[in-house]
Amino acid sequence: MTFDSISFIYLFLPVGILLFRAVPQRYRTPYLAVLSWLFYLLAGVPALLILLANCLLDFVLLGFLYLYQGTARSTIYSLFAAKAVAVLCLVLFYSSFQPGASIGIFVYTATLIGYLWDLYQGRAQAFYSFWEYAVFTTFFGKAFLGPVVRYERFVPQLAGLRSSATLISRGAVWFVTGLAKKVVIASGIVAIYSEMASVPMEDYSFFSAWMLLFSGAMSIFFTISAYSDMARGLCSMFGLEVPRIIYYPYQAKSFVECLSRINMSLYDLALDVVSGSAESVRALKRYRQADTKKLAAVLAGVLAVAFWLRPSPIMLLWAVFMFAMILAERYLYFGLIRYMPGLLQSAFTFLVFLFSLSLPIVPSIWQLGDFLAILIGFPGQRMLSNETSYFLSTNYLSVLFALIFFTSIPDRLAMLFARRFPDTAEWLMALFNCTLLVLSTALLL
Amino acid sequence: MAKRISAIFFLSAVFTVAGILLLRLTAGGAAEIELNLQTLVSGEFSGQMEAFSQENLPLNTLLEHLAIDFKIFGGAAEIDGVLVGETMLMKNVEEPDEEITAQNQQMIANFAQNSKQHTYLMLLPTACAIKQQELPESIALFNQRSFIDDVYNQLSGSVSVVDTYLKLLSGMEEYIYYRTQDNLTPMGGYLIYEQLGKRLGISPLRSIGQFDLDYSNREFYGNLYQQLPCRSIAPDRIVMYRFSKYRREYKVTHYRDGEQWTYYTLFPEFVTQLRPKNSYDVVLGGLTPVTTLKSSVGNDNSLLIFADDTALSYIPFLMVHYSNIAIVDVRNATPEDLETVSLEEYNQVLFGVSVDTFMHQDISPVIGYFLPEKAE
Repeated sequence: MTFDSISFIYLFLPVGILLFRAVPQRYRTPYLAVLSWLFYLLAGVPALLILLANCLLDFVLLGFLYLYQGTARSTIYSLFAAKAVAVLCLVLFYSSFQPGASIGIFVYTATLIGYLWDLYQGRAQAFYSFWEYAVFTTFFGKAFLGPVVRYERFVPQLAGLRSSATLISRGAVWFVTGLAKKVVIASGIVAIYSEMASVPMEDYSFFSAWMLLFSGAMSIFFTISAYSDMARGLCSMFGLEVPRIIYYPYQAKSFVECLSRINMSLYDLALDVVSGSAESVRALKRYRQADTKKLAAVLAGVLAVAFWLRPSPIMLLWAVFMFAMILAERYLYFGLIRYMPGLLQSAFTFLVFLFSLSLPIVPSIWQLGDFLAILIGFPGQRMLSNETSYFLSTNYLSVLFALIFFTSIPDRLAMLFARRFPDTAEWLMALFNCTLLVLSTALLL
Repeated sequence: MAKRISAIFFLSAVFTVAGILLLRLTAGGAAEIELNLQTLVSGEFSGQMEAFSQENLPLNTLLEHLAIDFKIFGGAAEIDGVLVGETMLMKNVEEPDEEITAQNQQMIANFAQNSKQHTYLMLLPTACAIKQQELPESIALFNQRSFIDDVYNQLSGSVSVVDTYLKLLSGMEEYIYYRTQDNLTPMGGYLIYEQLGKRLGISPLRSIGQFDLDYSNREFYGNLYQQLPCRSIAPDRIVMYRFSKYRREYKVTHYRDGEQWTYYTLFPEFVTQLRPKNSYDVVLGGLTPVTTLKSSVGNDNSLLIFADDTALSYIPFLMVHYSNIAIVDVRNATPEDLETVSLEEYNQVLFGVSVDTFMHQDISPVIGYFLPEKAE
C-alpha cells in the first residue's frame, strides 16, 4: 500500500481520519502509532517487523541512555548513532532481496540521529511514553520521503492532538496537490527519463542528452515534492504540522542554496551535527565568511543529500563535484556572478546542476567523456533524434506542466490572488483540488 | 466557512467513496479477499484490497474514460501496449522471444522434413506494421518486415513461404484491419487469399465481385477496445462475403475438450444473437481448438491449417476451392483435441499465423503432436 493507491485514499485514509476524530484526545497518540503499524503491515510484513523491532529496542536502549551519568556521553551517543546507521545499511542491503522492506527505515534512522543530537545538546527531553516515541519515529505520514522532523517541531504537538476543519482543509489541499504532482507530472516525467535513459549512448543527440538531464532533474524535484506535499497533508489531517522537505531548488541563485533546498530538514540536521548550529551556517550568504568547520558542515550536508537521493558510490563523486562547485563559487567567480541579474544567477546554477547530473545518470563512468562531448555539442553530433521527438510529443503535457510548476511563480501568483480575493480564491482552490482529485483517481485506475 | 470548503469537498468525496466501498465489501465483496498470515506476508492481501477498491470504485468506467482521454490529449501514442492511431487501435508487437521463435522455427522445419504433404508457411504482419500512417512518424516499432524476411530466408529450403506483406501494404488505406480488434477484416482476408491462393496453386482465383456482401446488423467493439476504451474510435462491423456464383453447402464442426458441435453454414449468425458481446464470432462461430470444414465443392482438395484468429479473415474465400479444411488453433489445441485430426486426410499443410503469435506463443507442442518421436 502506498499513498498513491486507491485503497489507501478511499479506504485506509477516511477510516483512519474518522476513527482519529472518534478517539478521545488522550488516546490519539497510541492510536496513531497503531494506525502507522497497520499501514506498514499492509505495505509489507518485513517493513513492519523491522520498524517495530527497531522501535522497541531503541526505546529500551534510550532508557539506559537517560540513566547514564558517566563521562563518556559523547562516545555512547556516537555508538548509538553508529548502531542506527549500521541497521539502516543492513536493511537497505536486505531490501535488495525483499523489496519494500526498507519503507520508513531511512526516516526512522535520521529522526533517531536527530533526536540523539538534540538530546546530547540538551534541546530534547527524554521519552517517557513509548507511544510518543513510536509516533515520532514511525508515523506513516512521513514513511516514504520524510521529512526528518526534529524533536522540538514534532513531539510537543503530541500532547494536544486536535482535528480541526482548518487543519483537515489544509491537509486535503496539500495531499491532493502532492497526489496530482505524483500522478500527473512526476509519472510522465519519470517515464520520459526511463525511456531516454534506455537509449544507447551512440544514439544520443545534443538535444536528447540535455533532455535526459532535464527529465532526470524534474523527476527528482516532482517526486520529492509530491511525497513531501502528501506527507505534510497527511500529517495535517491528523493534527500534526511538519516542515516541507523541498523548496524549488532549481530557482536557487547558488549551488549551496540549490542543494540545501532539495531536502531542507536533512541538510539542516547534517549542518547542525557538524557545525553545532544550522542557522549560523544558513545565515552566511554563499559562505563568504565561512570557516573550515562551517565548510565541513556544508560538505556533510551535501553528502547527506546525495546519499539520500541514491545510496551509491557514484553519488559520492557527485557530492564531491557539487562541493567543488560550491568552493569555486566562493573563491573563484562569486565576484563576477554577484553583479548578474538574479534570474541569470538562477539559470546559471540550474544549468551547472543539470550538467552535474551527468555523473549519476550516465550508465557507466567510462562513457562520461562521450556523453559530455554530446552535451557540449561537439561537431558531428546530431541535434535531434527521432526518439527524442517521439518521447516529447507523446508526453508534452507532462513536460509543459513541469516547466510551469518547477518554479514558485504559480504559487506566488495564487497567493497574490488569494490575498486580493480571499473568498473567490478559496472557492476556486476547492474546485481546482476537486478536479485534481478526480483526475488523479482516474489516472490511478 | 470559505476556508473549510476544500475540506468539505475532499472529505465528502473520500467518505462517500469509502462508504460505498465498505458497503460493497460487506455485501459479498469480502469473499474475493483472503485475509490470513500467508496473504499478509506475501503482500497478496494488499493487492487484493487494491484490486477490489479499483473494481468497485463508483463511476470507475467514467474515470477510466477520463484517464484515457487525458492521456491521449497529453500526446500518448501507446497506452498499456495498445497503440492509439488516428482512427483505430493496434496492438504494439514487442520484440520477439528469441527462445520461442527459434523453437517454433525448428519445429516447422522438422514438420516439413517429415511430412508427405506440401508445407507452406505464411507469417502475417499485424496492423501496426501495415497501418503506420495512423501513427506518429517518429514512433519506434518492431520491424516485422525484416523479421518475416529473416524467418523466410532460414526456412526457404524446407517450406514454401507466402509473402503477404507487400500485398497488405498495397491495401493500407483500406479497411483491412479491424479498428478495435487485433485481427484482419474480410477485406484484408481477401488480399491474403489472393496471395496465398497463387502459392497454393488455386486456379482460377475468384474475384471479389463473385462474392455477395452481407453486412451484419451489429456494430461491435473488439478486444483492443475492451483493453483501452477510447471513445474517439468508431466501432467495427462484420462484413460477410458469401460466394454466390455456385450453390455450396458447408458443414463446420467444432471440437473442444471432447465436445463437438456443428453448424451448416460458414456464418452462423445466431451465435452472435446468443452471445451479443461476441459479434466477431459470426465467422464459423468463432475459432475453437480444432475446427473442420467440409464443402460440397466437387474436388478432393484438402488443407490442414495451423492457425490463430487470422484464419477467420481468409477462410471464407479459401473454402470456395477446398472440399475439406481443418483448422488447428496453435494457441489452444490440446492432445485430446488433436486426436480428432488425421494428418493423412489432407494433401496440403499451411502454417498461417500472425507475426505476434509466432514470436511469443510456443506452438511447438501442437506441431510436435504430428511428428514422429525422433524428429521432436
